[in-house]
Amino acid sequence: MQKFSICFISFFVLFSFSMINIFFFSYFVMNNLVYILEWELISFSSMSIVMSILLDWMSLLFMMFVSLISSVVIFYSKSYMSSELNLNRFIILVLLFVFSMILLIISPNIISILLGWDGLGLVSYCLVIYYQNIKSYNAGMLTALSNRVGDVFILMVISWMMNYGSWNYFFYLDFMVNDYMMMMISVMIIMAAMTKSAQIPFSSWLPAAMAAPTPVSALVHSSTLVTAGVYLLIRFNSLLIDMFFFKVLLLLSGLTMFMAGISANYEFDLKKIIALSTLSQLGLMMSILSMGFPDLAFFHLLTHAMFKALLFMCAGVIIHMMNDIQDIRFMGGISNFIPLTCLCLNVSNMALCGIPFLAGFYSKDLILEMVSMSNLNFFIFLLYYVSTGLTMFYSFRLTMYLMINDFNLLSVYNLYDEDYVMLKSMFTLMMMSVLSGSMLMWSIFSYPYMIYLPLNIKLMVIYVSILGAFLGYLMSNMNIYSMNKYLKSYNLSSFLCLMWFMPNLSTYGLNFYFLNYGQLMLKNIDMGWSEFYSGQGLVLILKNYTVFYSFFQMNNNFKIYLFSFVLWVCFLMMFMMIYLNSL
Amino acid sequence: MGQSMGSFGARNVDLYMNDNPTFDPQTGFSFERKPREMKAREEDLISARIPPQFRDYCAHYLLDYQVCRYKNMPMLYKCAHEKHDYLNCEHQDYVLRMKEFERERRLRLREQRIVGAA
Repeated sequence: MQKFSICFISFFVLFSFSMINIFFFSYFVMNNLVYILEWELISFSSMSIVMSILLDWMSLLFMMFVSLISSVVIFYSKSYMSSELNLNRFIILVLLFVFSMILLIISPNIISILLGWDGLGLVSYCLVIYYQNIKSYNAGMLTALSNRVGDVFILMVISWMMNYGSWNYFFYLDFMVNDYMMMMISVMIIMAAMTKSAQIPFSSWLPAAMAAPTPVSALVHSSTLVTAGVYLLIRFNSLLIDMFFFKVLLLLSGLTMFMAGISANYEFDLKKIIALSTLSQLGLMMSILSMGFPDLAFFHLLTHAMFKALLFMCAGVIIHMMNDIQDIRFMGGISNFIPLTCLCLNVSNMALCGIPFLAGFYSKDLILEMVSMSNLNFFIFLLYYVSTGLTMFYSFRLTMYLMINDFNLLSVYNLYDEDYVMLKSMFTLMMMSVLSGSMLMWSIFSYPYMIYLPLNIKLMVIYVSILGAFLGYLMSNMNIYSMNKYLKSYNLSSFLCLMWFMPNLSTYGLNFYFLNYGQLMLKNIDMGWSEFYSGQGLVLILKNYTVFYSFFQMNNNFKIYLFSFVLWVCFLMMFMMIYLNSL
Repeated sequence: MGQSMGSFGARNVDLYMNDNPTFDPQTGFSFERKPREMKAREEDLISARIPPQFRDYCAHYLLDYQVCRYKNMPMLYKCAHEKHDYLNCEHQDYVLRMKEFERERRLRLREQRIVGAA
């Protein structure tokens, strides 16, 4: 009975689903088919709310990748979460997440997109706060609220699209391009996608969301949730291509890519480094998307999903092995203890860097060559290439810290791969991250890109990669004896390692002034004047009077009564005398 | 940026990469230049559902490539030759366009020289 646990059943179902999808994908891409199934739910005032399903090669392929990665992640969590008491709840949350993602993928209708989109935000909140502590709650709230901004934009898009009488945005993309309303809609769509894909003003939630369990990070914060925004923009791409705002998006996503690359070099938390590299790759996808190459963005999305999920799973194994320590300064030489995991880690890291003929190479190289082929200014070009170098930089630094340097945690240690469950799932993804690049390159590009560049620009990727690897080597060689260069330029390094103060924009900065003002209000109004005049002040006055009167009553002091009576009679006499004298 | 570098000098004559040729196509040629011919037929392209942006002078190679893809669907590496032919054609097309761009630039310079001399 143990064999058919919820993990195995979910794994089996999702894996079969992905195999079905790959079959349908090849059929659809061969025949160039698009299927739209519609089911009218309700119709009023010449508007119809339609539940619709869009099946084309893009949605099928994405569903295949999502279900493959999620099946593998669920298989992995059987071992990773084995000491978890509520494993069923965890797996059901992950399944809910996968279903909302699939709902988002197959819907050409903005209302059902909202359902999937909101489901993603909600379930990711539940998954981020899965380990219940203050840090997780903060991270979860940040994640949920950042995504909520995007939800609100989608809601506004729904209300704007009411003017068209239907919410199937798919039919308006080509015909309403010059419409003013459509321009508003596309701006809001871009904003929504920016929140989900953690582009620059909203990017602080992605590293914070690493408070989630590692399988969740592998599935949610690397390959599915954060790519939802990219996927939405891929769908809307034909609408957005001539907009000015798309140029702004190009700049912002380029800066995201650059910022995340730099911050990853200052980070020492294993999962946060990987999260920042995800952010960097998301910036790459968004920026190539905003240059008008949605298929390249989609290609990179898929290959990146594979190797980034693998990278997170390897990180999970390492964290388990290190007794839940995530700081890379404690790690080192782990390739001697867990060689198979390190094999996977290296393959995924190299795929991330774009080492030739692994998955990342095909997409990244194509993207960078298309950037070189396009008419862009030097700044954008520089952002792309420096970020590519930075990818190599932090990946090499991570490898050096994890594998080359000495082990720093304990003096007596016994480290080993725990079981084959995690290894099997990682090997599945490793195979995919080796093969998926070339497979996808063959299959999804029905219309191949012609690249024609001068030699040095063609080799520019190699140059920046070698430079980045060298810098990563130098950076990881620093030890406690070398002078701490960070402290010499403390302001700069705190600026860079705090993600350009992005968290201050979305949490600390936003909270601080309001909370401070709230405290002031609490002190002066709630606990101050309003208490003085209503609650406690009234009580005080009443109490004082009561004490005063009860002094007369409770003591039962006749002397005082008598004295006051005598006094009263004296006053009366005096007034009578005065009155009589005045007559 | 490879493009920008290649075309940077052309900005002196206010020429950018996406501009169309402004001079008479026959200027300066001893023979008569013929307009290029579209080899692929429109109805073939429509029936093969080739998107409009790919219906260029290399579309007949693209059609061959699509046919090959259709025939060998899972084994797409078998279409490497067709793909190479298509990309070769696109490359030649690119070179041709670059030559036209350079011709435009030089003709504009020549015009400036003539105006300056006059």
